[in-house]
Amino acid sequence: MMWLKNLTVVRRFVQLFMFVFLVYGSVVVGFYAADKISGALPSLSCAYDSMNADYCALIPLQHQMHHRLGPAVDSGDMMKLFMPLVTTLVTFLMMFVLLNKAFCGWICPLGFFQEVMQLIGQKLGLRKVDSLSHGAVDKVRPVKWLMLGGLVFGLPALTSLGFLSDEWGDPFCQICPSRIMTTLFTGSDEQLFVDTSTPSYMVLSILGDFLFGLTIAMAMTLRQPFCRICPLLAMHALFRKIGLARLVKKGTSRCDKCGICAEACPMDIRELQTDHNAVEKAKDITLPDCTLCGRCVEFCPDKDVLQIRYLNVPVFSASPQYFKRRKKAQKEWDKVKLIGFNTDKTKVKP
Amino acid sequence: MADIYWQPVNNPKGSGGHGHGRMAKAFQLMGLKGSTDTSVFYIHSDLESSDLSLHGDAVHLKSTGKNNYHALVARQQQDDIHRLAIRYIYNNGRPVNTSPSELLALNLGGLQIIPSPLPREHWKYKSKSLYRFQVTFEGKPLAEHGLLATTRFGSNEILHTDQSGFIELVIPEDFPEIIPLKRATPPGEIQLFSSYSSEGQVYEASLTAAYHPSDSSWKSVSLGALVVLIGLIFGFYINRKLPEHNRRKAK
Ligand code: SF4
Ligand code: SF4
Ligand code: SF4
Repeated sequence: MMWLKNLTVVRRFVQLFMFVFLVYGSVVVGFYAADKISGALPSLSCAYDSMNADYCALIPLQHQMHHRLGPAVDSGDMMKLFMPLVTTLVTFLMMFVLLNKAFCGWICPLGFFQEVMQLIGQKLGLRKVDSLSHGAVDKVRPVKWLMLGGLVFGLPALTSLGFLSDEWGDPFCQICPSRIMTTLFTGSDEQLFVDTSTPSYMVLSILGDFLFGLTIAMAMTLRQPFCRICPLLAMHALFRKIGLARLVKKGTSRCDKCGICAEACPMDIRELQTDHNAVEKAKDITLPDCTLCGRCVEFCPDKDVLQIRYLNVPVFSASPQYFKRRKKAQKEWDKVKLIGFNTDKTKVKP
Repeated sequence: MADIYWQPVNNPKGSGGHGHGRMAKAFQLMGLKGSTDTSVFYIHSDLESSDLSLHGDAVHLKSTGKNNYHALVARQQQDDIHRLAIRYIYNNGRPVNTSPSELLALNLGGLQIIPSPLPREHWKYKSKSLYRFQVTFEGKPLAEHGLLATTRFGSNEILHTDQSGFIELVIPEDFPEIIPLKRATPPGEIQLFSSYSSEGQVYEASLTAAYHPSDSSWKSVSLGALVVLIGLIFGFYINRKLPEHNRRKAK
């Protein structure tokens, strides 16, 4: 069918494949941590999943801060911290360079899970909020930096230096929705718990469970709610300039009045419309919150204004013909609803 | 059974071999017959091997500087009886290029009880969980073969391997007292024994490991599910309140 042939559909297949591979791939790569592909993946594939093929970079980073900083400071030998930290970062970057932020839009199990929840929400006819207000977006954007600085580096560092009790050594893992989601997918309820052993563990486990529930519910109405505050998104933002895959734009004055790209963007990146208009040469517009999903390119009606490039070679470019087809396909797809919970919208016959 | 088997020298902290430190660990070879010749060696995670000497019935393991599982092996031969005791010990150090699966795949000759798999790095044997072990003879699985599982706290069970030589064992939660906190309860010891006769020779093998109480004493799944539900409901509530932002006024 015509409507099957678009980038989003291709992306869904890749995401599904990667989901299955990352969540259940131990059958292929091996069971032990030593067998895993990198141990520092730039996506939230979880180390707690006993069947995973690889796990995210955030767990070694937290552990290194937690277990190495204190001893390094005590002994005055900072190499004790830097060596493992650099090893993790280099491994992370070796993967990251290849796909850049596409690790979010194409690979991450939690990113895909949120998109699936959104599909379910849409098919159930739940309320759809396509974009948040500029003010809300501006307020949410810094949270990912706090998550990275505070939960991945800050609190584990304070724990290592003895300012906090041991429970705070890996605080991001303890609230990470991917931990609960992926383990549930392997049929284990081991990570779905309230830990009553100490007040700190109790607070962290309650926060984690709550955030997981919140993410599921919100993803049905708002696109990618957790991604907006994800510490890996922030880490990607730091290194996005070295990635081989890029989103580029060569805008025109028509962009000022259009803005369909910004509307299509699940991450509410409004700068897509306003930046790089009237430029001579295409410019990198892989912004900090971008997940390289390519939706903006799909929905840009102007020839070659937006492009995804690999090693500066265009691999997917905006075109008026594609835009028309894509818009039609989206309309048809949106019509398919199983139930219409949201009564203020016109219900369409299936 | 009169097999030989490893057990930690009584020091509740240093028994599991899962600490983050690099302190020496000491293990005792139990069931030793005084005069019999015993060889002890330590197979490192990179499959290099070093000979160890027993001091009385104990060995003191120094860190090899290598990360991951090592195997502590004792071998004894007395007339026509061949005894083998193995314990897998986690060591912290620099990463090695070999996987624990390669260590487990080593054929040490005779009868062997092989964890399939070992708990993943940084994980532990826990009570109430199911684990698999394979019994092999000269590298080949032994079908429908008996195995005795005992614990330090007195539980015991006889199991039989399936056609591929595997047994499945749920480690009992038999701690005299469980302190409801991670790492607070002194670990138990699980001991697996098997023996096999072939061509007039008797082979005995043991495998031992520490196990810890399951988290179920201080982690509640139903409370967790309840909190997720509260998060869900709160999320649906927020969803209704989220202001719709539409850049283009008329749609
Ligand atoms: S809990 Fe989250 S951050 Fe931690 S290892 Fe799992 S996916 Fe990574
Ligand atoms: S931002 Fe989203 S897609 Fe990217 S790593 Fe985080 S959860 Fe996954
Ligand atoms: S800017 Fe484009 S590629 Fe990036 S997240 Fe938004 S729609 Fe996807």
